[in-house]
This record gives sequence, structure tokens and C-alpha cells, in this order.
Amino acid sequence: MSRIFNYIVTALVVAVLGAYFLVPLWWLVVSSTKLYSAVFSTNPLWFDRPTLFNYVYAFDHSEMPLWLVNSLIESGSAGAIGALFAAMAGYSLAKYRFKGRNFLVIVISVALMIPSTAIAFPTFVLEQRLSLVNTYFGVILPSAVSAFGAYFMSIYAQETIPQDVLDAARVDGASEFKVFRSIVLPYLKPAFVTLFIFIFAATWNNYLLPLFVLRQASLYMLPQGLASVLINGSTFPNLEYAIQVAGSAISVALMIALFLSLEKYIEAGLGLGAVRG
Amino acid sequence: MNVGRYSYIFFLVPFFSLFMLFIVVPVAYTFGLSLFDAPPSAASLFTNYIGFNQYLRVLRDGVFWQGYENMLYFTLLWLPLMLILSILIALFLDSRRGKIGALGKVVVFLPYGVPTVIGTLMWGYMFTPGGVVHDLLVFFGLPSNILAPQYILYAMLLIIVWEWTGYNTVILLAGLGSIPSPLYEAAKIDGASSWQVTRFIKLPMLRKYLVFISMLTIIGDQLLFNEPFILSNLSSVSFGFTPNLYVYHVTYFLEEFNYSSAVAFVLILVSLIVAVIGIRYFRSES
Repeated sequence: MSRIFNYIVTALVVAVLGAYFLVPLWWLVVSSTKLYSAVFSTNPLWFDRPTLFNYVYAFDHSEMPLWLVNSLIESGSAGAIGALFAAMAGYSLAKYRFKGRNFLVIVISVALMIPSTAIAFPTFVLEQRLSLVNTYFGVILPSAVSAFGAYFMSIYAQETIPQDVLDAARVDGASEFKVFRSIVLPYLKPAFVTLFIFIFAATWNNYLLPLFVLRQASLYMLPQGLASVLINGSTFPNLEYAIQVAGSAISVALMIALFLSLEKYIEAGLGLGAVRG
Repeated sequence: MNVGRYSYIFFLVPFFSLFMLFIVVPVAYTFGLSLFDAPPSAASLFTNYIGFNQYLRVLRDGVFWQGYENMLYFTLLWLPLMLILSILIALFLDSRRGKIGALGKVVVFLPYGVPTVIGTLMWGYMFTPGGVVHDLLVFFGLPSNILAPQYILYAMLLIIVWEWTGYNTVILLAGLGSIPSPLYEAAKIDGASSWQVTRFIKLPMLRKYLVFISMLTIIGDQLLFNEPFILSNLSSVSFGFTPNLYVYHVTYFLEEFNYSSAVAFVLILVSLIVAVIGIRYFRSES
């Protein structure tokens, strides 16, 4: 009897939590096929005369496609540059012995805790001086700096790259650059992918930095653009709504596809990230 | 052996150049600005040195303290809720490896893939009359105007728990996965019940991870920006609702750059203090 009771309680809790996590996403899918006039008057969780109007409108009559492309370019570049630089620095910190090494490790671990949102404004002032405002690099470069990344890479390099493999390559006359490219990078690949995803996602989700740095509608990143539609509030809620749901649905679909395809790396990364310190 | 003696520098330069430029310089710049009080007409923000007076103003600033008070209350609500939920979900998924476990992990992790701005917009629609959440609240006889100022904190709670529980669950799952299996076998031989295994093996092993999550949560709360900023377009969220929102307001709308730098630097200091406490705890554990 108590086993049945347990079973029912568990099932109930799983159902409620499952609904909590999934309903908003389902709502987005359903709503993206409805006109604004139908959103609040029909069953919010089921289709009602589905249409592709929102998507067609967003692609043909708004800057949403530009925002999407901007986001992809900026997040992709930040992820690639950030992961590469962190891999180089992490390898150097883990596998070379030099004066000041400990100092650099301490500097990085302190910087881990500096919230990037608290320095968005000075970053903007600095970028004005460097003429980086309203450029892709204005978002890419600050986003590519990952103190966590360098830290993560140095731990990963320490644990995975055998010293004798490096030494053997050097005995064979390989240059330091060649050692890095053909030995170190392959060993670091899982960490590289993990870090790429994290920086990509963080850049994709960032709102405050682009808000300061990107000041023309054609340069906006996707979340920034979608929020600007709300803030500027046109007199045609239907069209505003169309851009928002279509853009949101595309953004969410892309990010979920990325997560699912690289799931095992994410888990490994979160596990290692948590035991740092 | 031909070990290029200085090649380590070559590998360090790219990362540390960006690091200097986009972390060290902005932090130093923030601190520098906070020591001045330039009149609006001044050519440079570094005019009229006033020492630490801006910080005295921060201490006396009621709006600033209100923001911290809001966030303290918010943390007291959502940290225990989120921790309990992620522990329960992690234990449940850990006990059901295989297909159900894998599927559940994906389901709880999905919201993390939704940019917070977009997530807040979605929930905003669902909070509006005719939206799912609004209708559910009406159905249960609860106050349905969740976007009203007195309930906005709970609206944020729903959104933020949704965003972060899955992420933290996956961290805890990694922790549970790292428990060596001999520990389980020994417990089995001793005839421990599954409750005892949970209580005396799993939970203690998770402690380190829970401290880590709590630390990040506390640092993150004072920096909350996206959710209240977006919600302020749908509701009347005050500009000092969170400390970070206040920094933005003072910078962007009041254009008091020296003062906003002092507030921002206080946020950085608080983050560092919380982090140092957390790291000390880790050191004493290991």
C-alpha cells in the first residue's frame, strides 16, 4: 500500500516539475504559430489556426535576421578566440616552470570572481577610446576573456598531457609551436569544446554589454533586438509580437540544438568547474 | 633538448593582453573614477578629487540599501527553494540511470539554453491576463496580478528558479557521479537502507558542490539585471530594485559617472568578499 502511495506521489511531483520546465517552451512553440489577436483569447497551450505569419513577417520586415547573424558571428568568434587563448595560456601555466607563474595563477583566480556586469560601463568608456563602439570586436574581445577558461585549461592540461610525450617531441626537434599544435591541442580538445560552448552561450545570452556597446539597430544582438522591440513599443502589437516570438523560437531552437549535440562535453565541464577553488 | 626558453611568454601574451585590457583596466578605471566628483560641464571625469567621499554617499544612499535589502530577501527565498529542488531532482535522476535519467537531465537543463532576456519576455506574456500562469493563478484562487509591484519579486522567483535549477542540478549530478562505487558496496554489505545511503553518503559528498552553488548564487543575485530590466517594461519595477539595476540607472539616465563607479566598485568588493569566504571554506575542507 505504501509503495503505491510512494509511486503516486513521485509521479505527481515529476509531472508538476516536468510541466514547470517544459510548459514555457511548449508555449513558445504554440504561440509562435498564432497571431497576436489570438494569443490571449485561445487556449494558450494548444494550436489554433496555425500560421507562419510571425516567421515570415520577422524575416521579411524586420532586422531580426541581421540580429541573428550578428549573434552567431559574435558568439562564434568569442567562443573560438576565447577557447584558443585560454588553451595557450592554460598550457603555458601548467607545463612550463617560470618566475611569476604562481602570481599569474593567483591573479586569474581572483579575476574569476569579478562580475563582468559590474565593469560594463568602464569597458564601454575604454572602447570609445579604442573606437570599438558599434563594431563586432567591441563585443567579441571582452567576451573572449575568460578567467575561468584559463584556469580550467591549466587544470585540464596538468591532468591530461603527459610530460614525456612533450619531451619526446622536442628531442625529435619539433618546435614549440609544432608541439602545441600537434600534441597539446589534440589532448585539450574536450576542454576546448566545453569552453567554446560556455563562452558561446554566455555571449549569446549577454545583454548588458551589447546594450552599452552596440547602439545601432542593425548591429544589435538577438536578445537585445527582441527586447528593443518591447521597449520601443510600436503601435502595432501584432507586428511587435511577431518579431519577438519568431526570434525567440529560433534563438531557443538553435541553443538547444547546440546543447544536445555537445551534451557530454557540457556535463564534464560543469563537473570540473564545480570542484575548482 | 631544445626547449625554447621563452616560448611560454608567446603562449601567455594573447590571453593576458585581453585580460589586462578588458578586466584589469576597467576595474582600475572604475576605482579611479570613484575618487572624483567631476561637475557635469567638466572636460574630464577625473576632475575634483574627493577621496573616498563617494563611498560615504553610497553608505547613506537609501535607494542603494533598498536594492540590497530586496536582494537579501530574494536570496533568502530562492536559494533554499532552488537548492532543495536541485537536490531532489539530482537524487531522483541519479537513482534512475539509463533512458529516464538521460531524458530528465535534458528536460531540466533546457531552460538554461534560453537567453534570460528571452525567457523573461516569454514569462511576461504568460503572466499577462489570458496567459497560462495568470489563468492558473486564477484557477487556484491566488492573486493573479503577479506583475503588480507587491508581487513582482515572486514573478522573478518563478523565472529565475526556472532558469537556474537545471544548471545546478547538472552540477550536483556530476558530484554524485564522482562518488566512488566501493562506498556504495560497503554500505550495501552493512545493510544500509536507501535513505541511509542518501543521508550518510550522498548528501555529505554533495556539500562542497552546494557551497559552490550557493556562492555563485549570492554573487549573482546582487548583479541581477536582465530579468528586472525587462520586467520593468511590463510592470513598475523601481530603478533601484537590484543593486546592478541601480548602477545602470545612475550611469545611463542620471549620467553621474563618478558616483555610479563607486556603486559598481562596491558590488565588485562584495563579490570578492563572498568569494574569499567560499574559497576559504574549500581550502579548509581539502
